[in-house]
Amino acid sequence: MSFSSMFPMNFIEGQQWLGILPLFCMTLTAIATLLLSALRHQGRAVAFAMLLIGSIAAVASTVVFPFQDTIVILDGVLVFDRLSQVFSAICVLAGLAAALMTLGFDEREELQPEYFTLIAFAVVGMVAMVSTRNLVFFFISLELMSLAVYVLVSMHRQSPMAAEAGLKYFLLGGAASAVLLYGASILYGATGSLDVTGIREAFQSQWNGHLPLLPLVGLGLFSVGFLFKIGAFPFHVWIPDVYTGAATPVTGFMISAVKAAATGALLRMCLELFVGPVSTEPTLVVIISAITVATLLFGSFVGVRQTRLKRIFAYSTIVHTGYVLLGFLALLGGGEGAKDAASSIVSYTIFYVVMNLGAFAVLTMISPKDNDDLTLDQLTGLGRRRPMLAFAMSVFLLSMAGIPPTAGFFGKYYLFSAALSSGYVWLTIVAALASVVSAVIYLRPMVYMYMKESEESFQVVPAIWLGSNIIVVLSLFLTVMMGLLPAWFSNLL
Amino acid sequence: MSQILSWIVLLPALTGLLILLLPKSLEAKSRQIAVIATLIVAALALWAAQAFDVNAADPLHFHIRTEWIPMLGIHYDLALDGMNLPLVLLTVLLTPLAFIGTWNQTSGDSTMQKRMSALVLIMETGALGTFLAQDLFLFYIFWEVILLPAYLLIGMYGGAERMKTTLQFFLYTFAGSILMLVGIAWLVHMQSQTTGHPDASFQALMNLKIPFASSQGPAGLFSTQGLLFAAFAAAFFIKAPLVPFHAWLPSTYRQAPTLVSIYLAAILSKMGTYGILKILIPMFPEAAHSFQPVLMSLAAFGIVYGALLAIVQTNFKTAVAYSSLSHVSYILLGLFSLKAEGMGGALLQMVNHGIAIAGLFMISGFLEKRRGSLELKDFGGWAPQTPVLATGFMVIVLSTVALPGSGGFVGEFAILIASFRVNGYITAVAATGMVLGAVYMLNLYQKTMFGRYVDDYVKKVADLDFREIFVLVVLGIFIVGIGITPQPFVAPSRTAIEDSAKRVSPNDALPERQAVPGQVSR
Repeated sequence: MSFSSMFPMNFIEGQQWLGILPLFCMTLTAIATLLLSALRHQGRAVAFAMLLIGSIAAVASTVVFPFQDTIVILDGVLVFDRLSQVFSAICVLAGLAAALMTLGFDEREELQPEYFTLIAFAVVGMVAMVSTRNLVFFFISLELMSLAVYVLVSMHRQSPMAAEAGLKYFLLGGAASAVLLYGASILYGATGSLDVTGIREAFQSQWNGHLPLLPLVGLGLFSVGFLFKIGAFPFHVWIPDVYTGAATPVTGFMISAVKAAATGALLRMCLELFVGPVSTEPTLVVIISAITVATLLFGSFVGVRQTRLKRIFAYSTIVHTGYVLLGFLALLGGGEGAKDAASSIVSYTIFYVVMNLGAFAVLTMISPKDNDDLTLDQLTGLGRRRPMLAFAMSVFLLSMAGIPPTAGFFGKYYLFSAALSSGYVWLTIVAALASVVSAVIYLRPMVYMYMKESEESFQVVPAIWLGSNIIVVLSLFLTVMMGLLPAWFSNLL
Repeated sequence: MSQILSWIVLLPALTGLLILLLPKSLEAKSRQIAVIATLIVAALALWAAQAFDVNAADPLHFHIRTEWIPMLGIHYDLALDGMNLPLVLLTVLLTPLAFIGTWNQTSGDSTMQKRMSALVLIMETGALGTFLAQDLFLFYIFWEVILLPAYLLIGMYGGAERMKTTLQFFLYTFAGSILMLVGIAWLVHMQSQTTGHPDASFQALMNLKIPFASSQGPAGLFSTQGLLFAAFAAAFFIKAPLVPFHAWLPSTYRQAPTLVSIYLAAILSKMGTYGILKILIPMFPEAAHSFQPVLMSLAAFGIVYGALLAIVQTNFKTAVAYSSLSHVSYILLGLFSLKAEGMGGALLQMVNHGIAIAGLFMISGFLEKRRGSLELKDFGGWAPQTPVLATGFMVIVLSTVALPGSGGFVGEFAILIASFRVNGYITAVAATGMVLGAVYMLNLYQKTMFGRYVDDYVKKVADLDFREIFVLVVLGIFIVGIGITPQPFVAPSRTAIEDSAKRVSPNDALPERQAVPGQVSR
């Protein structure tokens, strides 16, 4: 019996199956792990193995069949091209990394097999999110991802803050989603289309690129959802609390995969929606510039004063959002610079995901048994007690600070270069100065690890952290290699 | 041998990484390994220097150029040219001497020795790479390689206020260099707009016409060239440093361990002045010309300000730090004169100052090791007990005060002549620095070596051991050697510097009679 007769989906044919493979693999994995956890209560190892196989299959399909042209299914409900492939691979791998990190975490806390199910469902949502042009389908995949992550955050049952964090994230995230949906409905009302391509055509044919208030409001409300997920300035308030409350591997998952997915989807929307005069609409540029500056300054200056590591990384991610927004501004500038801007955003996202996953793998390994909300004081003397881990952590921190020769430096250079090409000189200078302030965020943990004398050394759990070790080594390798041979990695894209 | 520059640049860092991986049992040997590596690098560099041909048609010797990041036009591009030759020699000479001269002071636990040696070796790679790079982006990468080891060394092994100091040092230098990075991205973008393909090499960027608003005042600063000038100046002026960008300097030099102080003052500050000579002046000539009065005034002010503060210090090392500020300001004055003889004198003075300040910080290390303090009130009457130390100190003091016959004299004299041709008043202020310099140096010498001693400890003070004597002898040879025959240090850079001077002031022909003292006219 052939595959197509088993699933009579005549609208998907031939090569289109290749495009849908990652989504298909992850959906299958999610359902299989869900059934497994219903049948057997202690099936963590099997669930993990399933996730591993599903993720590898999903990533392999993007590596083996790289797309040069776009595959459109169901009139743009699903769109598969190189962009969606790259971001799908990032999200799937980040999800797998988060699962790997929990392999040692399990010894401290009973994370149920549903943990892997939820990760798989969240990844399904992410893959769908970066591969759609349809506003409603986008909303559904966003909610699929978000609902899974809300539960993941609250799953950290030992921490009293987890429930609070989960509720906070759920309420604020729900509000943001509602605003996004409202924006989508206004856009539909104004243009008569739910498809991004249709909306763009309406922009051009009806208003010749100069938008009246109604579609502008629609666009603005729609963007709020994105800005919430990537943590841009007025919509960032949830980040520190939620990141602190969640279990460390879950925070690692959010900081890498969730952000990468939101960035990828935003990149797709910008590339498809903002072409021509719409993108250089002065109000739009002024608003985004203001948000960029506010995000950069807020993240840097508030981050400097934090004393708990997860909060430090929470503010660090706000600063990084500011850099990515700089890239988006360059993208809206259009022209030749736009292409550079798009590729700089993609590179930056990859670099960012790698170094954050590495840092969180180290964090999971050095957190004491009863409490994974590490403070800076607890890092004291780590350079002597765990020299290799401290070294790896330093490399990740320096990469985030953007010091060569690390991946983060080139990521930042690409973004600055793209912004300058589009003429945002002053904004780039502000971003550069913000990165000086934010350097303090990353140097302070190093001060504690290497320079402070420790009075009493806290206990390190002598667990075998195979999973986290793999991630640390891989991330370290990638961070340094991308810093030394950035061209080689760019050619892979 | 075609890759000799790669070996010179990368060997120290590779050795440094190897040292970091040494097992516990071999840690005690880390300094020996480091010294051997730096000596090999010095031998390679000397071999390259003797093969340097002043009259060669292509000024770039041992040129290596490989694509690194094609889409941004960035190359791995190293070459020995007239301008960087003296500074490369300075670096490869001072690094082993710094290790040997501070041998007894770094005799802490073996892990500390291991980390210190490794990090200093990585700094050597950064310095050599900065000097040898012929690609602006590569220059930046090596420039930044320095930052982290310096930060860690001061933070881990510095004095009591090390953590605050090292953060301040890092932030100052990082702020400067990140602005330079923005400048580089902008320059490369402009270059790629003009020619169609990006190229970050110095040669390609030198041909760029950068718009500049010629009127005096803020309009010039806010034109494209003015902003680019400011971006690069931020990095170089902070690193050198030029007053008022020096706030990090006194505490950093004082808190750093001696080995690092030597490196910071002798070599790292030269990266800033080299950047001004190699990049800032030739690439932004109109801006440099337009800001010349301000810059020269600041340099002259720095000379006097540093000297006056050095006089009133009560701590030996802080006094040396301020003296360094004063002398670096001389170099800057020579550079900002924008005359060939001034810039040539500045380049020579970079070498002289490197040697002299390394000597002074080593002396400070010797004193601290023997006394356990560097407060001047704890010293006095050492000369009878330690005649060798007193003699070596004297030689370095004489070079610092620019006594004729020492290297310092040739450089400072050329600088003052060039500066006088531009502005007599500024030069008059700057020249008082020579007198003040004599005041604080001799004052320091008297308070330590002569006078009455505070208590009986002096009788127990040991004179220099053979390592310390060796280091001072080598430094002394170079001080006197440059004073008597400066040609080998000046001649290779002559053409390059004259080209730079022509770019800045094309109508300012240099009369043959007023050539840089000691130079052979061709």
